[in-house]
Amino acid sequence: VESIHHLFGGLAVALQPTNLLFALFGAVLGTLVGVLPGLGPTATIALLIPVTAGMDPLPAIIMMAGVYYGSMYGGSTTSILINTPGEAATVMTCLDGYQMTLQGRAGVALGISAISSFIAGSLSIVGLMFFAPVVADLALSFGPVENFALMFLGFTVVISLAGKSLLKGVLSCSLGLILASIGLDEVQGSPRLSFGTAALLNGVDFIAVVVGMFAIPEVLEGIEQSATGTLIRTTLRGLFPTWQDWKASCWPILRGTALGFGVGLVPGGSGTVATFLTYDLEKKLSKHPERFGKGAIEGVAGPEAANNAVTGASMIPLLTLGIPCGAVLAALMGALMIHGLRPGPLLLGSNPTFVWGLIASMYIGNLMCLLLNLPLVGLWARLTLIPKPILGPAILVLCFVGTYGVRNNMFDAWVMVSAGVAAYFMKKAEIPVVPLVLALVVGPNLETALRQSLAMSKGNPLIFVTHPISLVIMLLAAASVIVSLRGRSRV
Amino acid sequence: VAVRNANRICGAVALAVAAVVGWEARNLVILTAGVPGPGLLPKLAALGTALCGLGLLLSRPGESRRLEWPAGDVGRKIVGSIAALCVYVGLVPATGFLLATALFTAGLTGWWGGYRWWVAVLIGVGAAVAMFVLFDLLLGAPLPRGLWS
Repeated sequence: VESIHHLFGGLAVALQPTNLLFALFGAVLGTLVGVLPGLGPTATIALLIPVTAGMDPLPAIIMMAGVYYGSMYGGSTTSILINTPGEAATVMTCLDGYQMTLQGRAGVALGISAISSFIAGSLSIVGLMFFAPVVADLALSFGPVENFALMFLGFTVVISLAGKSLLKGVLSCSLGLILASIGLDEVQGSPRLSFGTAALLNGVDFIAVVVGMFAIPEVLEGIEQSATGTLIRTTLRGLFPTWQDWKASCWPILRGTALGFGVGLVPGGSGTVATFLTYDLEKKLSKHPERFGKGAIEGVAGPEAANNAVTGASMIPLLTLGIPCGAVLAALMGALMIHGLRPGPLLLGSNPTFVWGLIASMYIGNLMCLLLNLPLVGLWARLTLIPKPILGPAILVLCFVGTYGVRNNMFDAWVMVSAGVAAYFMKKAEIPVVPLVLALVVGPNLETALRQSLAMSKGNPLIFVTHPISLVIMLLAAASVIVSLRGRSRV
Repeated sequence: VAVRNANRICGAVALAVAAVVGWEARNLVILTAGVPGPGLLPKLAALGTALCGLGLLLSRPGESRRLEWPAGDVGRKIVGSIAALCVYVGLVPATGFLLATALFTAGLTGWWGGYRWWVAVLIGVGAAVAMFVLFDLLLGAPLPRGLWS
């Protein structure tokens, strides 16, 4: 009851014209970056941080959240129409969505994708509304030991899920922690890893790293895939599914929502993982698994519901525990901190207007995405035809503008370029970049919790297994590593 | 082009990074009288990097994956684009955002897309002016003026 009361308060805030406008802007921008190759939601959110630095935190974060879920809607459009996932989380939609397009059912595929995204997005926000206060209350009893254990669990799950090799995941995470260490030590103020240069004393700006790592490799890979997708001429009429389509999609949507929500709650769970699991589940449950990959509507409805359910659910660990589940959330966490908001159990109590305004705006934003996507689908589809030789250089310049704008220094621009080139080589060598970004953003909090915990135990690391809650979390972390070691290569 | 022993190369690079970080962090204290110092995280991270690097370096040849590097024209375009980006970032403080961006965008668009030179210049100048107006003049994010300051 209290949550509903808070939600009405949040709705009053979210319905203010400024907040509505920024939710709309975020949803449009998110759909756009979801549709266009080269600039995903992570880099976009990072680029928005300097632009929104002077704004009130609520409209700024509302806009960034809009980019997050808007990109999920946009990503599926390109998956269905040109067999190119705009986002990693919409890869599975290609399998049956594009087949439906080839069969002349693009309209229905787009329709069911938008509707299932809306249903799942809305239901996951209901979940967020009820779970967030419970998790925050529980987390209030956590000390540095438990907080460290939770962040450690987040790292192990991200490393386990990102990429094919555990060793390369750990390497990426270690490199991120090295970057996080650069600059003045927060406790004693002594310079660390500055190599005698004044520029490094302020640390490595995470925006420069995120923008470089997520945008530059995309642009360079665009050169490799020189052929622009061909838009199949098909009728977009009949966006609303028939009764038969509904019957086939209803349960996959609900199952996808539940699975996506569950995956989103786990630190490290991502939309990509949720869609893979849902697609696999639907295929196993189907009476006609042979239809999957040949235009089965369940293969679109389930994964599309799952990736949107993740967006609401993943806000729970971010807002209540201060743990971002993936790269997009890490960028969002960075934005919150730059706006002076510290995600964690105290945020809900200290800034209820902000949290509930954000949650309410997500309801409204999801509706906006639905209304934007169905009638404007032709426009979004046409945007995919913008030639890469024009789009690529423009994205690179945008990266420079966004990075330079943070602190108005050229050093950050060089960090962005170096991070981008490094990420391109890392991708080639199959070293995942997500653990690095997560380590860079969460690193300072992780270090604080680690140092406080070890100070409590006089330097004895066994403190993490002598506290019962921490022990359980550490066992979960160990389990995630063991599970990931089975059936995958070590190097 | 297939680059053999990609994992070993990565391992060697990781070990080199760990060695440089370890050397730079050598004077940072890990623990004094039971209280963790500023050296704890960087040294732990360097150790992690070194161990992963060693693991990759010692991986058996059979496990050492090949890295597919784009060959021919595509490879040249990628190396050239990275070089162009570096020149662009180096040029901005001197020439200012507008001129450097126009040159960079026109050059890359013309090269990647094979457009006629005047079309590429038109796109370059248009993109530079549009971004300058949007970010510097409308959003108030100051961009380097260089010569024009």
